[in-house]
Parts: sequence; structure tokens; C-alpha cells
Amino acid sequence: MNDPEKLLNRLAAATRREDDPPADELLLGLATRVLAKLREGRGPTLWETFALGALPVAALVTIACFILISPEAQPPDDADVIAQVMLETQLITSR
Amino acid sequence: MPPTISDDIAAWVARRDEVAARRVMEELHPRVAGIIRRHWARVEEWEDLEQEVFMRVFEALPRWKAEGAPLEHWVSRIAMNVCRKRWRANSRRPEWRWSDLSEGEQQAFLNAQRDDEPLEGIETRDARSLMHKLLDTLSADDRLILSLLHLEEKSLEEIAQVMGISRIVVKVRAFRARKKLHAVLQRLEGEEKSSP
Repeated sequence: MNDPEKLLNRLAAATRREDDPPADELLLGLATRVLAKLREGRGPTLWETFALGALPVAALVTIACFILISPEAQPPDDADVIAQVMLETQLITSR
Repeated sequence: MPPTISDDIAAWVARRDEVAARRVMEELHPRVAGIIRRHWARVEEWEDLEQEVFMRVFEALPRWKAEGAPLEHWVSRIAMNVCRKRWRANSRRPEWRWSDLSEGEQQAFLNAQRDDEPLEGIETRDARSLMHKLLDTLSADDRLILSLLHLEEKSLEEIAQVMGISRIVVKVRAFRARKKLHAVLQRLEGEEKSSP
């Protein structure tokens, strides 16, 4: 079995050799794209992405609350009943 | 007298001078592109990575101090951290087998094994793609440490600075990561010997 450390070092040394053409010229359009992105600012932050994603869920919850806690669904409380009775009694209506 | 890179940086920071920003990018491009080429195997992603690096550089330029780290080192650190972020996003750790290696990668492996074979006999492109495959098997942080150590030939102190950890931690992690690679290399060697 060969020494794996030596093998790794030889591979790394071969990798470091610069055989590729040097990257002298800036890629076409890269600078323009970078500047355009900097002009418009960064994309949405993590918090903004989360907030936008949560919007439909929040809308659904609001609609559900409206349906479940609508005035018709609630039984009339005691104060409403008394007020209704008072309004309907002769005592009040005759005056 | 043409403006220096420091003048261009000052012009960008003060009034977002885009002509100056282009000159800064032209100046830094060979270094940034060189780092990305050495550390990222997929050619089709090089441009995208370089764009990400420059975005980060320009966003951070107002905080760069001329009297601190040299600009080239500072930019290299940003480029390496962009690569690290991408490695982290790719959580897949493949387990390469001998048969997964291309013919060129297998040849690079065999030539690297032979002490009498000069390094020139190993194709750089094949050696690089084999090295990337080996590094793929490591976590993003271990990969960064070994990439800086073996491909960039950085010192332990420099790596500690890039990663924001102590020199001792870098040394321990490098040792463990190398052990992992040794195991992969030994397995590949065993498979090569038993292959028809």
C-alpha cells in the first residue's frame, strides 16, 4: 500500500500547477451585472422572504377567525336579552 | 497620473462611482477568478460565483480599512468564504468508487502514486478534478481547511484568520480531514487493484 500522505501531496502539487490560461480579462457583462445588482440593492432578506411567504397563511387565519367569530354565531349575552325585554315591555313603549 | 485602486475604492464608497468600480473589478478579477477556478469544479458556475464575490466585496468595501489587511488578502478571504457557503449548501457527501472516476482521473491517481513519475506527467486538469472529488467527501469547513493548506499553501495562522478559529483547532481539524482523505485514497487504491 502506498503512502496516502505522499499521494495526496503529489496530487495537490499537480493541481497547483497553472496550466489554464490566466483569467486576465473580466468576463463579458459580469461588471455590468454586478453594478446593476448593486444599483437595485440586494434581493429580499431572509426575514422579508419569510414575511412574504407567511402572508397567505395570515390571510387564511384572518378569514377563518371572521367565520368562526361572526356576530351571528355568538349567542346573545344577558345584557342584550335584558335590553331587548325592556324595549319590548309596555312600560317603556307606552311613554 | 492614473488613479490607484485606493482612489477608485474611495470614489466608489464616497459617490458610488461606477467607472471606478469597474476598474476595481478589472484589477481584482485575476485573483478572484484564480481562486474560484482552483476551488470550484463546475465551470458553468464560475461566473455566478465571481458575481457573488464581487457583490460581497462592494457591499463590504465601506468597512475595509487601507491600513488593515492588504486588499488582495481581504478579497481572497471573501472569495473563500463564498466557496465555503456554496459547499455548505451542497450537503451531499458522495462516496466515490474507482469506477466513478474518469479515465483521466484514474490516470492522475496512478501517476501520483509513482514516485518516479515527474509531476509534469500528471495532467493538471485531471489532478484538479480528482482533488475536487476527494474534497467533496469532506464537510465544508474541513474542505476549506485542506483547500487553503494544500491548494493555496496558506499557513495555519492565515487559515485561522480566514475561518475565525484558533491555530490549534485548524491543526487538529486538518489532521482529521487528512486522515479521512487517506482512508478514501486507500479504498480507491484497493478497488483499483481488484478491478479487472
